Amino acid sequence: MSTPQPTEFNPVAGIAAAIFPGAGHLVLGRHKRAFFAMVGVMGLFFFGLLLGGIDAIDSKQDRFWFFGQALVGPPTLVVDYIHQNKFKAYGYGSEIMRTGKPGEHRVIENGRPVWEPLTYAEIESGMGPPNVPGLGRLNEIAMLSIVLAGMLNLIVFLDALMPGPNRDAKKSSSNANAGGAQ
Amino acid sequence: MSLVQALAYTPFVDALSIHEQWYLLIIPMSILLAIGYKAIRCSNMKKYPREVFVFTVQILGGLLLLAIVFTLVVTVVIPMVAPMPS
Repeated sequence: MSTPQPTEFNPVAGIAAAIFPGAGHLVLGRHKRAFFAMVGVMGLFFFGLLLGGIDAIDSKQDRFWFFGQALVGPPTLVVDYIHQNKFKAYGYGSEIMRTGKPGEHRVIENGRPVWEPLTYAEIESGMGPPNVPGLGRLNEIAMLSIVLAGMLNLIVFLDALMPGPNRDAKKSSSNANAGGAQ
Repeated sequence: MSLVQALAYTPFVDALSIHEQWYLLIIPMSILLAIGYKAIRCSNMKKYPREVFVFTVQILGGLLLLAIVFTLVVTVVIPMVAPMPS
């Protein structure tokens, strides 16, 4: 039976990993792993945004999905902030912020964003809401992709916080020793 | 996607309209997941590309197997257990 490998607690790498995916491994000096971890997490994140648009991250209307997506860290929080403040508005006579529908235009009235109905001529001229939300299965796949990015980032974060021994460094040093002996 | 839709499309803001090809999206997602996961779990970075490839194939193979099992359950097992009244 093999004994478990010792791990060391590294709070600095943990904080860096929480700020941006892969930054923790950069602090640990594992540059290659940091780069590929960042490519994996941010690739899934941007792939989800590409599929579902900015509507794929919504802390108000897709709250439970957002809990998983928030594991990506600040990138999710920034996108959600932009979505809530630049793309949503209040419906006519409503106190609920929502995404725009076709035939509506976002305007600021007395410092408050509201959806204003458009005329046929305005719709024909290309006016409309600032974004087109994802629908159905495609919207679910987009949200799932960002949740996967969050769950993957949780593994990356834990590995940076409690890193195991640097196997690559061990291998290269043992190879060097073997080479020296020959 | 029509020409008007394509011209009005803003990447990362508007949703893509590829509803017919949704099942193909699992391929880039599996590759990206394997890239990120194996960056942490791979014991030797020299074997990294091979491990990413193997893990991607394992994910896709597992999902294909699940799809076959569920198709058999829906089309064969359930009609045997609870046949539709003719």
